[in-house]
Amino acid sequence: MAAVLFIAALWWIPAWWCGRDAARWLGPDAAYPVGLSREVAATIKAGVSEENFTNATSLFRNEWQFGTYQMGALGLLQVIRAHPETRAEFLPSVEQAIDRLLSPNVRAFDLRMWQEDPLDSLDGSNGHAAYLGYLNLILTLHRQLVPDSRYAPLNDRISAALARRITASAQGILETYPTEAYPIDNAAGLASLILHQRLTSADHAAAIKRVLECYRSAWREPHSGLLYQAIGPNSGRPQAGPRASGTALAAAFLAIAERDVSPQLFASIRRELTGSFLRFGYIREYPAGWHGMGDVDSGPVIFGTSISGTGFTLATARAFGDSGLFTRLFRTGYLVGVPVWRGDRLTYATGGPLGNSILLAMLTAPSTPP
Amino acid sequence: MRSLLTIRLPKSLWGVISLVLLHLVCAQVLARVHLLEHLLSPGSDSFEALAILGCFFLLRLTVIVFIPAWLVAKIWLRWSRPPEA
Repeated sequence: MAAVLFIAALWWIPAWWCGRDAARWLGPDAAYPVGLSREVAATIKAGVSEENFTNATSLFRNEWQFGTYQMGALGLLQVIRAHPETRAEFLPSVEQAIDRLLSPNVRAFDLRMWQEDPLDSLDGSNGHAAYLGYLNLILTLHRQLVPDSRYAPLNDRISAALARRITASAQGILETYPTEAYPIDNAAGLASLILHQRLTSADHAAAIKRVLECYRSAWREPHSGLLYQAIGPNSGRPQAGPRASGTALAAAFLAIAERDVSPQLFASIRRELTGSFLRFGYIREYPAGWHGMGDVDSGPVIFGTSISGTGFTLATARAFGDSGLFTRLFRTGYLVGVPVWRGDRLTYATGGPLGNSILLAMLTAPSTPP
Repeated sequence: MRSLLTIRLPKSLWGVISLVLLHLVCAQVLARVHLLEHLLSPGSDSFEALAILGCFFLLRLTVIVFIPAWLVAKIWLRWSRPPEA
């Protein structure tokens, strides 16, 4: 009997304890989003530099610096949208994050790879898909909240450049760096174009239609329905297998702007990659029949589990109202992330600047259709 | 009123309380040092950070996953023990 009780308690207590705050993140309660927002706002105010990150490659350290501000701004914008009473507190932090994203120091990684500045070369033809796409998503969402945004002229110029480059591209995909093209990076830019077209009188319909069609078929592995991690920019053929980390973040970005392709991607993740142990949910990095190691996209792959994929899927589970999956993944996030309150700030102890920014963006993904 | 120190608890329960307190202190300390980057992308100087994280997660698993179940089983065994003559 003691053994039965032990197993029953093992099944019920840890999952209950780690998931008890999931309902607060899913519901209208502002305490937790505001607590984590304060931590992220403090990070943005203090600033992050390459020295905050440990990767041996300078490019990735610079990318993570960019990612900390981009995800931080995205999360804060979502919190302001869901809780308008927080606008006065967090909008200045959003604009500080945007100013940092625009600084030469933060955009240096893209300049180094392309040998041209992404903002000074908007009239050119090179892709710059990651820097411009991720940045433009933030600029467009900021404009939704602040119609007379001081970033509006830049937002218009980047949107026009992205749409023109997509239309002129060989396969509908823009390069992140020379000869490297990733559906995930293009998802942020596509979402920004859809939102920009909706907000302004600009017409990006041809570019949007072309890329959405690629997300429906050509960029997805036919059996799993997951996105290939990389696509040949000239051939249009897959250059890397289907993976959770790319598909989950692409679905999360697209879900901010549209509800056609993003639910399909979420359904593929749910069908092919979800698992749970003791009611703690996880997302596998590779679907059945595919194998590989972890990398800078996925983090370490432990027994097949993707750290990034698990975190990113929180956003789509929330966006599409799958509270069961959200709660299971949230439990794992609680166990591994180690949330700690420090005064009025909530921080994920193992998160660091980038982890906290990502979790804020994923845990506050909008659940109402755009 | 008896003070906490004079309450006679089984040794194993004091051990559990110590682990829980140690876990809380470690979590607060970890919140002030950023280690995720080592976890996501270990560099040449990441060994110590990964070792610390490994020990912490073992402690966290013990406190959150195993100790509650062990306590339930322990309480049951104590409750169901036949009274001493």
